[in-house]
Amino acid sequence: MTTLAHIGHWTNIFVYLAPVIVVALVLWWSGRREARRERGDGSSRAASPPCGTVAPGPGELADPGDGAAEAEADGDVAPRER
Amino acid sequence: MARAARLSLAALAAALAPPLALPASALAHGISQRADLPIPEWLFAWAAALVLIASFAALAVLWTSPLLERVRERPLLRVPPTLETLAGAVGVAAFAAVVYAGLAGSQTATANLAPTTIYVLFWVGVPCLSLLLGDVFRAFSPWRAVGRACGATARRLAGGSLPEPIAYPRKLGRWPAAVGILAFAWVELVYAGREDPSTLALLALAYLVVMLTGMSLFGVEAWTRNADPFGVAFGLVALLAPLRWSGGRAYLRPPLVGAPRMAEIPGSVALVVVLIGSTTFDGFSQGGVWTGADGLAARLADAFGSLGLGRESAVQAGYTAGLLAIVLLVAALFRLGVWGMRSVGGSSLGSTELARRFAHTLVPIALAYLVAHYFSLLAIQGQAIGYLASDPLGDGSNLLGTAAWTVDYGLVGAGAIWYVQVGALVLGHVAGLTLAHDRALATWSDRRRATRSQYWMLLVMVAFTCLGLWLLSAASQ
Repeated sequence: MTTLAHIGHWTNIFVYLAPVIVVALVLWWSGRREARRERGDGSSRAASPPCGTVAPGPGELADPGDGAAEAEADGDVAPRER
Repeated sequence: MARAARLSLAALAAALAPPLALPASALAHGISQRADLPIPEWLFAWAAALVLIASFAALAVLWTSPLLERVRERPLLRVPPTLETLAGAVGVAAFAAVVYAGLAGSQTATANLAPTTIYVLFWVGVPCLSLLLGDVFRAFSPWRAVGRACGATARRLAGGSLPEPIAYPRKLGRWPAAVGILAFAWVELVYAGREDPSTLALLALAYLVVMLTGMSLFGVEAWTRNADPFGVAFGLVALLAPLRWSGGRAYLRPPLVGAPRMAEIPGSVALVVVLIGSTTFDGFSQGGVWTGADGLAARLADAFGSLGLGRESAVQAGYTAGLLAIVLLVAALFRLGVWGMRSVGGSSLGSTELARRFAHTLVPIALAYLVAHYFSLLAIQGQAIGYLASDPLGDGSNLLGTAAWTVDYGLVGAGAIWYVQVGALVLGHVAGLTLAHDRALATWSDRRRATRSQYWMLLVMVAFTCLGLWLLSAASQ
């Protein structure tokens, strides 16, 4: 029983860490599976545009009217990178 | 994607079985339990993880295009310019009162107005107010008010024209704000004289001098919007608010939608990471792993002591190392999420640029950590302002007739505090997840790829949530 009692020290950390580990494992496995399926799909999937090349950045999308982008309206000195 | 979320939910449920099957005696050590909670504290972490996964699945299925990048605001009311001047005068008067109380009043921390005002009302209360009312601190900021007054006076004396201020360096961005918040966190969590009223008053004056110097060089607005640590930090929280104040007008908008408008400038990630990291260290430094007889604090103090430092310096050096390590750990966790996003999406964006694009997703988490860790402080210690305002120097005066007020420690029970803490953490992380999902849809044109990139952010959010709840649980032991 004494040995069992000390398990508590480790379970205290483990029970909080466990959801992270479980989610990590499932997402890793799922991501790998989807990537493999995409590769299997061949050229049709490969034709999708790469990240960051199509969608506009937040500054470009911001409404120029009354509710102008917080960054511009607030006069941030350093301009957007994009 | 929904399949991945379903699998995660099922796996979490299955993994719950072994800990629940352990005999109670096995959990006798290490896991404390508030008496008035119906389930063990650790189960809240699991429940929070499940809520995040369910939110992620719902976002993936129902939120198919970026909705937060273009949101119209509705003009609410005009604000007379005199109101800002008045607010500035109030801010300056409050600042002067705190500094005077710190220097001239009792040097007992609990009897002096300065420590409670700075650590409770200012550091915890103002962000909470900013979440509700927007960036009100900007109007009340004493250093901004003094800077504006000095500028106006100088302009009048110079006959209407002053030399243009130096252009604020683009590369500097929010880095001065990040360094300033780290310095404040060091004073609050590490420095041995952190509760000494006169020291706090002198530090406040030093802060004022630095701010005025910066404003005189780079201009009041450029400096306060980029380099004033508190102004910038409170301004970030205000991005989540339903109100925005600009150009003498107040605008109404849905909560949260201001966050995607956060300027992507250098130092943004560092600032939010420091905000989260410093609060995390505050929680960690109250737990047994740090404070135990053979805990990390004692070991580090011994290690620094063996290098020839005195006992107090060695303890402070140990705490400094702990603070920096936790900040770096939080930064590494976020970088892991960014690295994961890049690896999944075959991104053409650099990791630094991608990190800045998603930095705003950490803002609700920073606020959640702040509320979770300091809610009890605000609810309990905040009551002290009732009698401290009446007796700011602690010399027995009764200016407002409230000097006899006391702190009601039973105002909020331990159970209620725990529920507020859990609620804040879950809401903050769901908000972060939502912002990240929306930004991913705006960044990746392929929806599936955008969702897959967020697997990593989901993991980061689950990790932050569980870390936050573990810290709160450990601090209560």
